[in-house]
Amino acid sequence: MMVRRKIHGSLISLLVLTLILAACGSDSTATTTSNTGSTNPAEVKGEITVWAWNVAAKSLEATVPSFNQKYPNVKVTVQDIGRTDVYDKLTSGLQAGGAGLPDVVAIESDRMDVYTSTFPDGLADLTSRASKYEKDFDPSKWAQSKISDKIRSIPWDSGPTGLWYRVDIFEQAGVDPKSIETWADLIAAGEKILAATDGKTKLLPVDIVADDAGFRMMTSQLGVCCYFNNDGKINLTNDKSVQALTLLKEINDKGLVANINGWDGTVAATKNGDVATVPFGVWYSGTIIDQAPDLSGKWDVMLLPAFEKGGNRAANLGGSTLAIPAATKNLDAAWLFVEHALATSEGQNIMMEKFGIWPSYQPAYSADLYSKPVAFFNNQPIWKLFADEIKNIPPATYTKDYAKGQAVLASAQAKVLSQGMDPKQALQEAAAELANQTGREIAQ
Amino acid sequence: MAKTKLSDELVPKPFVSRFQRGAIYLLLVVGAFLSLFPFYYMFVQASQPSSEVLRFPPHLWFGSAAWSNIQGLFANGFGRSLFNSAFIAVVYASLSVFIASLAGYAFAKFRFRGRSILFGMFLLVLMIPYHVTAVPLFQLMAKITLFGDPTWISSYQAVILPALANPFGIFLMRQSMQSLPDDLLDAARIDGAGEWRVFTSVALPTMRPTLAALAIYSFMFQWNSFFWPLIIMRDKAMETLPVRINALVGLSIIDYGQLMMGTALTTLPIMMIFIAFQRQFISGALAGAVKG
Repeated sequence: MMVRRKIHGSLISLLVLTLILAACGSDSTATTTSNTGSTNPAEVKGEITVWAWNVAAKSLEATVPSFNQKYPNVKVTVQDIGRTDVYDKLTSGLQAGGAGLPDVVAIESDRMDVYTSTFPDGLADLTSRASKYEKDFDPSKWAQSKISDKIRSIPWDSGPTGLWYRVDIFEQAGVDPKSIETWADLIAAGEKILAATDGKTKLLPVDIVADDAGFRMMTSQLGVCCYFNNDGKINLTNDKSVQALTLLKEINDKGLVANINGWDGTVAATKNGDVATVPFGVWYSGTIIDQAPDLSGKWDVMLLPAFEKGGNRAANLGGSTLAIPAATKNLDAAWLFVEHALATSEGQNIMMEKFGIWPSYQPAYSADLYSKPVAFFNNQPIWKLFADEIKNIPPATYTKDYAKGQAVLASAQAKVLSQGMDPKQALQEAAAELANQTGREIAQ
Repeated sequence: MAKTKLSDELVPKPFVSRFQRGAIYLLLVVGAFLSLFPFYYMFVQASQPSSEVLRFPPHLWFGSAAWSNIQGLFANGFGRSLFNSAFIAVVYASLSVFIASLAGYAFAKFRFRGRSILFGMFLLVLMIPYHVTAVPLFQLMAKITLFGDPTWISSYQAVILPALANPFGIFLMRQSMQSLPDDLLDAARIDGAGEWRVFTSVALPTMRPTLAALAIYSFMFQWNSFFWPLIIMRDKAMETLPVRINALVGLSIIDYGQLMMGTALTTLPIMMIFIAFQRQFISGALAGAVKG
């Protein structure tokens, strides 16, 4: 009796297991619509759905009226979804062979490799439609959209970096922002500010244990972003990466780092005067305006300081793309929507003007708005600075293991800044750890 | 009631000095403050405009933006999500409690071939991590064509049905039903009651505390559920509250005031239900724990 029951039990567990496995390994029926470029705009018909996170969704929504002027018979529904939620929904849909996916989806640039490597044909191949725009886009972004010579996404916004700084605090400490050319100049200024504010205002915020954004900006500036090189090897032990982490350590050792907790901590430090500068992407302008309305006129921006006099001051942090899932039933309409929003000055500048989303599409920069002074930012024409910066941004390499790299680097950063470990040693250990996790080789 | 009175008389009162009593009260007051303050602070923050939430020093009294935060939420689908969440949670709680009590009763009171194997299977299901089943379940929902729907993606049944036969609930009801004396049921049978009548008129009424506890548990499970509704509800009109609230978190701009208001409004019904049914909840939970 006992034996029989045991056999029954294991048979049933086996059955359950088989069912689960069978459901997992189901066929992937990715339908690819044939590429029939329709010429008459009125003939393009149908409904398309677009997924993006909140402000991004609002900005795409703002392009719909002008899109519908050109293509009146396409109905566009933009859905706002939490930023990381987009990825959960996208992944589950792609795993189910394209079920329940939208026609257009926003993906952060540094996440694209995850999708193109896990689902090589999950996103539509846009090469034949998009390649004519290559010269118009931010070259560092375009390089990321191209995966083994196929274009799987269109760059949306770029994240040219700047050093956002408090004009009033600089004045109070007697620091002339124009005199700052190198990181060494900035550190000297930071010490003056710390003294002038009785230690209240530090130089810049760093989330020491969780985010290596500062390291990524510096390595982007030095042309070795992010963690891997073009051959897919781990690229952390080079002199430039060591230089970047050493600089962070120096800033921290002088007591100039405000150790904050996460995104909300950065925003709080920005609005409460805990820091005099915030090195971040152009998109941070929107955050400052939204969260610190009472500091209007007191913020300005300059390029990141160079590592040595006359060195490169251009870098990138963040930015997104739009992609079209291959399962879309209306590739034509989806493409035309993406084209209008991202590859026309009209579409891009609607989003820039209303929501501060910085175009990766360079012809957009010829509009008036890029030379006009911005009242909130010390009445300076700050957009011009970023428009000129774009072409100097060194290309960066992300891979599907980018997120792992981020985690490993954050813990390396914590070891260096909190426990005083030697930067070179920390990076060697980080490279070994990353090799362990990803099976990649370490570049020599 | 009679029982408590009896024990009151039998158990000698421990001697508590005035000082000790004062210390106990002080401890309780501090404890109450520590547990209530976060809720108070949530409502304070919910009444602030977004740019005031992260201010230092923080606001400790209500701000002026409560109404505009509410308006902002409702202009962006919050009302519809509130309905979806309430509908799903109520329907799920009623159906799953009903099914769990039927199954629990059968497992506890009927002897049939394969009873322990079946019950073992339910326990097995309890041990499968949820995320393992998410993708196959999603594929199933995408392909199912029952009730004439072309797909079950973005439908109420896709959220309600998969978890309806809740192993935890069945387990809880079985443990609870086992404490029911067989003689009581037999007496009803001798009096001529059919099996259905025995179940509804004799078994169920004695299970009230457990049923209430399970109902609250099931309601909260669906009310707070995030991952599955996020994955399966792809139409904005079908989103539940936690999914809608999470949609407020973007890349570089977050409306903290609305976020706090959304959280407060989502927490409020649960708090009210808990306060209203506190006694059933605690006695039910204890019954399960002690008798199990």
